[in-house]
Amino acid sequence: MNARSIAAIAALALAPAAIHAQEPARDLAGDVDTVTGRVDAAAEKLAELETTVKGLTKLKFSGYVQGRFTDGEKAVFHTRSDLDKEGFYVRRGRLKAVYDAGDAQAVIQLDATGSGVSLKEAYAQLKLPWELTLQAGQLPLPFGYEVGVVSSAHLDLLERSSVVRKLLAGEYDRGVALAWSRGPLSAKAGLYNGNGVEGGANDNDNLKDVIGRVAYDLGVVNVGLSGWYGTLRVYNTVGTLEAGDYDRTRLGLDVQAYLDLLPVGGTAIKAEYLQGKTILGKTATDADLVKLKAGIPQMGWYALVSQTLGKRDAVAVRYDYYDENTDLDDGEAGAKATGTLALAWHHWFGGNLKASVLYEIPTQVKGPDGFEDPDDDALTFQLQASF
Amino acid sequence: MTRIAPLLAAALAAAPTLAGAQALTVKGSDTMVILAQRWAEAWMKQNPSKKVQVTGGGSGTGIAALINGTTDIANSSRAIKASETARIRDRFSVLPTETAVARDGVAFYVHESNPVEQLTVAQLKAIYVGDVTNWKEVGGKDAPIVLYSRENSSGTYVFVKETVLGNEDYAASAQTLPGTAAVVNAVAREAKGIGYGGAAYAKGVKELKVVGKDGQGHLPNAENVKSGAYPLSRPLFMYTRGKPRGDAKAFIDYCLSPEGQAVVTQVGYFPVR
Repeated sequence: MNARSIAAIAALALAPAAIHAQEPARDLAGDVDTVTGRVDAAAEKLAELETTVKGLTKLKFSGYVQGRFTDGEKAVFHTRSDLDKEGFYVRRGRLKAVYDAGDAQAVIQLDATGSGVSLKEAYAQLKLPWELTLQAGQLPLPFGYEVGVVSSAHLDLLERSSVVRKLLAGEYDRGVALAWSRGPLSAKAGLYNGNGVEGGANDNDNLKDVIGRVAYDLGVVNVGLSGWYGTLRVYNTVGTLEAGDYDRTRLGLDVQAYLDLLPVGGTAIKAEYLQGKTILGKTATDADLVKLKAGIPQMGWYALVSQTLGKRDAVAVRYDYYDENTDLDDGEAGAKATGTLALAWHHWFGGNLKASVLYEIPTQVKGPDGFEDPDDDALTFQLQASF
Repeated sequence: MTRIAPLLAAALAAAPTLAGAQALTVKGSDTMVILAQRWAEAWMKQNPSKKVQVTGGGSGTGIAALINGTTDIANSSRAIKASETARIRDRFSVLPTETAVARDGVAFYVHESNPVEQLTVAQLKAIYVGDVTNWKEVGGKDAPIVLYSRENSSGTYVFVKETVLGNEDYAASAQTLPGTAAVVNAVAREAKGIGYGGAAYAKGVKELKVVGKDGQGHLPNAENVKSGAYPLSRPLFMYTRGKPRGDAKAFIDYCLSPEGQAVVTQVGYFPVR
């Protein structure tokens, strides 16, 4: 290879370096400034987003849907007309929103079923000193265990007991309440319209009821004592219902025990006793008032056992008794007391989906003709999704 | 009564779900995840037919999984709340059982170049609620403090909020990081940073002394945590639904055995026995 060739090759090899050497030097300081600016802008946007997200975390939504199929035997004589169903339906479709601003809270809960959308809960809550909490609006009745403590999504036998569904129908009322708790002791009491919320009931009189519950929670055993003092005023005589003031009182005792005896899972034994006068229901017209059994003494109780089976299953059995008029004896005209045996099995598919089967056997244990067991049993399948 | 047949058939169909051995699941505290993994490895070595799955996610996540039935044991660096106990009781008809398996000193870390050596609990609170924003206010350099914190599902987050901040809110400027290791990593790279977490994780950062009741600054070491001289120590828990039984009991018994407690010391925590 001669010198001319070597020079040519060398020139070709050095050409790229020469080209680069002629380009202006990169402004690295400027590049850093640009990147820093972009990072600062991103940090600013992130701070704004964090403030927005922090505000949104104060608002929480929860709810559940219960889809059911019930196959109820039909009988001319029914002990429980609420079991006279045949087909698919939405038992409950709840949506609850809670805005928690620390010392203050706002709660709204709607119920959507085939019958329409209704307001279940709507109240404002304020934390006060000395472990007190003030609530005002449409509130859960502070009475008993099945209404005062348990959500409809977590009932052992899918529905509350007969006496609770009459004397505490609707589970909510409008009023103002004060709650307090310290250690194992808790109490809640308030002033309410006293008519409940069934059928959009408004207060038909200017009298208010006092309702409250005291509970002692030892963990393994929990005991509650509930009281309700109030009056239903009927302004006009309607049929057999004379104008006047009628007792609307209740007294309740509830106890729950949780036992860790079996290797397969926990065992819960729960019982509740309730007596009172005047059931809850619509009060829009005088005709509605006639249906409320004003002043008639009633009584009921239930006892149930629930057994957890592993992580995903549970079975429960309950017997509940409800006497619609304790002034009448067996065999008397108008006497009616129902005893219902209910058996349920639940299976959880993870934390949010639960399938249940319920079988109910109502019998008439007190009536004009004594004991009767008509063909009015009911079998219910339910799928519940919660979030 | 013939209508009960579908009920019984459904119960029989569920029977397979009640039987059969599965891996033991342990979920929860990120503070405890390394410790739990070491325990799991050692226990599975002794019991080759057994399997243990350990995951983190935070104490709150572990307890939520216990409530949902998706874990057998929940690791937690904080005590279970009354509302969580009620949810377990309502769902499983049984109370949760708490077992303290180790002790931890919650350390506050700064960059190794930070001249600050010790702080009082009041100063730590002032920094983390945002009242103190410059290192010079606590004896350091004139530089803004960069705060690192944990997610609110973390038991360590809850412990610091209750014990140090007196239940006041963290400063809005505190950066949330997923796990103690992430906090340590961030502080190791940021000269103006401060973070907190289990003492066992403090590698590549400087642990601050915290002034105790005696007015002296103490490091979160075994002697100071055991004696109580270090003011920010806490038990680490395992929770089960009801009394521990079967594999869960065997695993927890191993964790509390002399061999298991030796693992606690190796990982950098402090034994309970």
